[in-house]
Order: sequence, then C-alpha cells, then structure tokens
Amino acid sequence: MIAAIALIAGIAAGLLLEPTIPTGLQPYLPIAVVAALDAVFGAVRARLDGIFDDKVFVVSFVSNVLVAGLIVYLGDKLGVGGQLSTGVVVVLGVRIFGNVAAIRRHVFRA
Amino acid sequence: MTTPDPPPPPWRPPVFGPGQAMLAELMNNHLDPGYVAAKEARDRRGPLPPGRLRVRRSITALTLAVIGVVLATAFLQAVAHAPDAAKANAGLVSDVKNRSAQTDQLQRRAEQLREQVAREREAALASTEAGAQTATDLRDLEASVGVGPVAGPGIVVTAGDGPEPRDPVTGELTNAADPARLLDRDLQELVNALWESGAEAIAIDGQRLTPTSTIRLAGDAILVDLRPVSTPYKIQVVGDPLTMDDHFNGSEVADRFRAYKSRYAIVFSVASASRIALAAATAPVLRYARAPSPSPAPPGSRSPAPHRSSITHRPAAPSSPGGGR
Repeated sequence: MIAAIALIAGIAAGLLLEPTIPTGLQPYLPIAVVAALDAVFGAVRARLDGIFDDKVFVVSFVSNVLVAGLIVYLGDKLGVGGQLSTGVVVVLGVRIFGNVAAIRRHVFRA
Repeated sequence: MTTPDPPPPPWRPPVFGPGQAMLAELMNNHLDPGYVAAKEARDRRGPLPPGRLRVRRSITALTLAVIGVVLATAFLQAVAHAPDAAKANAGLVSDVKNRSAQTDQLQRRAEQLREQVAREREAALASTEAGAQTATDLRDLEASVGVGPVAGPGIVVTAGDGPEPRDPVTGELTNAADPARLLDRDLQELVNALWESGAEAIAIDGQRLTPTSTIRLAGDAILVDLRPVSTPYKIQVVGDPLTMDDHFNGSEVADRFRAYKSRYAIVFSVASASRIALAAATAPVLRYARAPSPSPAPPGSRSPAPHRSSITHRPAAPSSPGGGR
C-alpha cells in the first residue's frame, strides 16, 4: 500500500517538477527505465509469492540500473553500444515478461 | 594403462552446456534469486526487529518514489523529444504557407492597383480620338505580353507524371530514375509547341506566361516564374480552338507526348474549352528601363507609346538551360 503510494507520488513529482537530465546521462535513461520496470515487477511477484524482502529489492534495483548503465557505457566506448543495449533490453525484457506472467497467474489463477 | 570398464552409469537428464544452461536459466528463472535466499535467511534467523523493519520499509518506499520519478522523466522526455523534428517541420510548413498567403494577398492588391491604373489611364486617354486609339492598342499589347487579363475560347492541355517506379518485389518506391517524370524541358516544349500552334495567351496551373517567363527545374519541383507548379500540369491556352487543336495535335511534340503516354503511362490530354479566363501575369521587374520624364507635349498628340511594329505580337518562347530526359 505504502509502496504503491510512494510510486504514484514519485510519478507525480516527476511530472510536476520535470527534472532535467544531464545530456551525458540521457542515453542511459531508456535502459534505466527497463531496469526499473524489471525491479518493480520482480518485487510485485515476490510480494505475491510471499517472499518479498526490502533489502533485496533496493539492492537489486540499484545494481540493475548501475550494471545496465555500465554495460551500455562500456559498449558505447567499444563501439558496440547498440548491440549491448539490445542485449540488456532482451534479458530484462524476458525477465519482465516472466514476472508479469507469474503475477498474472497469481491474480487470475490462470 | 587399462582399467576395467566401470558399470554403465544410471540414466541422467542431459547436461546442458554453459550457454544452454544460461539460456535455460534466463527463460525459466525470472525472479531475482535473492528473494528466495532472503526468505531462507529470515526463516533461519526469525523476523527483523520492528525498528529496522520500519527503516527498510521507508527505504523501499523511497526507492519506489525514485523509480516513479525515472518513469515520469522518461515519459516526459519521450513526449518532448520524439516530435522535435516533426514540430520544426510543422513550423516551417506553416511559415511557408503564411508567406505564400501573404504573397498572394500582395499579388491581388497589385492586380487591383494595376487595374485601377489602367482604368484611370483609359479615362484620361478617352477624351481624344487618338487617345482612345492608343488605349485600345495598349490593351491589346498588354494582353499579348501577358500583363493584362484575357478571356476567350481555347484549349486545355493536361500533362502529368506517370506512376512512380516501384520495386517489383516489395512494392516500395524505388530511388531509380523515373522515366515517367516530366521535366522542365518537357513543359517548355509543350509551351513552345502551343505558341507555335497559334496560342495567344498561356497559363500553367494558373500562372500566366509572359515573354520573359521561365520554366525551370529546382530540385524535384518545376518552377514557373519562380513559383512552384505541381503535376498534373494544367496548361490553359487562349486562341482559336479549332486551328490550335489541329495544329498542336499534328505537331511533333504532341506525337512524342502520346508516345510517352503509351510507353510510360504519363498523363496527357488535350481538350477544347469554350471560355478560358486567364489572370494577368506579374508585371516584369524593370532593371534598366526608366519611365521618361513627363514630356511637355499634351497627351494624345505624340504620346510616348511604343511603336507598334517594334513589338512582336507573339511572345518569344520561354526557355532555360538545364534539365534533360
């Protein structure tokens, strides 16, 4: 409950304050979004499985975003940024899909 | 060194290679394994004290708020940035449209003023017989060089690009040179043939041609007197419809266009019209000519009107370099 309120408050704050992202970080925003979605859906699933843990959630989110960003950064430096971004998006996308499927099974029993 | 064969091992499920194991892991275990490990640890050690639990809860809430901000920011950025090019484009398009409308308005005003000048002049010249004759001559001359509006019977020639070339497999437009595309040269030839067939006044897409008109290609567009015209080009011609129709249809240019039509499927048709009204062309910009200082002679006696025979009735054909099929 509190978590949902916090998420909505964050979205509202972002929409109202319109924070500007430094140009150097802008290429990583889409990756950060995908990593954040992965963490959120993983947390919802863990919650429904009854094994949610605050520490794991926070650490997994932070490390997901950092590692995804780092991979893309390295890829950019090596000239394979596009391919590595695709790789990160595929891996996180598969996980998001799987977690959403699990959530669906919990919610609809189907 | 030989050892006796060991007994055959019991059947085991096939062992995946490292790559396959990674893929299987990726496809089957979507949840962070940390959650399971944390649950086991909690089961072993018992729940956290309420104080630390509260701290952790609030950190989670904070993290979720951060995620919310990230999502909202990404959304805003996607909305703000994606249509940047489209916005600039739309701005330019509306700019161009505004300016065109402005030009049209100025043009209309110039036409009105020119008409007013013509009326005043005629009124001034009508007082004497010689003046009235001069006014009639002047009107004829203006009509023939295109700076006066004309109306009368004539023919309408429509010519336009054929279908654009498409890739035979994908059906997409290809970048190949398009043989069914009319160039400035084609329009020039049509117009020249029409002058030759006895045209007295010609307009392309409503743009009246004068002896100094140009028909030119600029990029992909054809400009008539620096104003773009678009396919299909409608060429309105005032003149005797019967002789023009005969003469033009028998001309070599019309033959060629009919061949283009059957070969490249361009648009080409000739129709006669009982009444065509053509607006006046923009008055030519005088660069070197200056109006003489008003002569002391009374108007009408020896007016500074140009000598009749010095002006050919039929305007010279417009032409320009460049362009080629």
